Amino acid sequence: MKLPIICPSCDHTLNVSQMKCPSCATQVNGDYELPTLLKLSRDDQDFILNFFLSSGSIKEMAKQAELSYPTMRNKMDDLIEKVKKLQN
Amino acid sequence: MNWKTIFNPFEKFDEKILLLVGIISFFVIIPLNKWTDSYYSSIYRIIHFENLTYQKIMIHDFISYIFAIIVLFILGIILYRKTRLIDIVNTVLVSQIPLIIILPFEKIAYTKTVTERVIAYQNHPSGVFPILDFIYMLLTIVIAVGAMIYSIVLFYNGFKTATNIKKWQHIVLFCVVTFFTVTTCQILNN
Repeated sequence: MKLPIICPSCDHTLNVSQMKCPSCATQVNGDYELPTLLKLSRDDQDFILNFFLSSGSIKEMAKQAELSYPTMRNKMDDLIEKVKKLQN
Repeated sequence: MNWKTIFNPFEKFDEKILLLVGIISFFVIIPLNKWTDSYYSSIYRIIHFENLTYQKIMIHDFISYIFAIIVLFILGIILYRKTRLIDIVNTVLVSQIPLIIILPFEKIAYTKTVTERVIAYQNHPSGVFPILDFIYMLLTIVIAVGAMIYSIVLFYNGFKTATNIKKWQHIVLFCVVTFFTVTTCQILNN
């Protein structure tokens, strides 16, 4: 199941209000902000995960995605900008 | 291969493949220039001149390519510090490939005959309208303009991919710099 990160009503980033232990069913309620990486779209999260799994090599990622190096580097730079904006 | 790849091969293909294709195209253009008595005084400007030697053609063509590469690389570095020289070289080399189609047009004797016949009919409209000649002329114009547009699209997309430019101000700057580069090179490399 996909974790919803955007409010369907006003498009604002959602916060976490409840967490539950899958083992003993203890529930924690509060108002927790999502970590920056979880605020990204699923595709962006996958991109970062792929980057990590290819040992941080954009060239390797480009090869796997059958794209050129500058295209992959541009995607990475756009994502960096997005993360920076989310952090501010 | 889809339309996106045709109009922006820089997005998909490895830089070494693009470089190889670009260099091959450069060495195809030189004998074509010799055959058509022409040379590039800048990218997008073909000059016709009688009795050109291979050496002269190579020097002129090389200068026009190098001039564009140097200027675009400097602009690329200013706009985006991660710009690589190889991506700019590929942009210039690959964008000139469609223009290969235009080169032999003038050399084909039939083109000259057809043009003369259509002009003659325009000046003195008598007899049957040379419809086949007109279609041929129109077709060559469409192909030439199409090749030119495709070349410009490749040039723009290549630079955009190499420098990751998005802002309209950067795009305008790229257009202005390209215009001045082409004009200056035409004057210096004549």
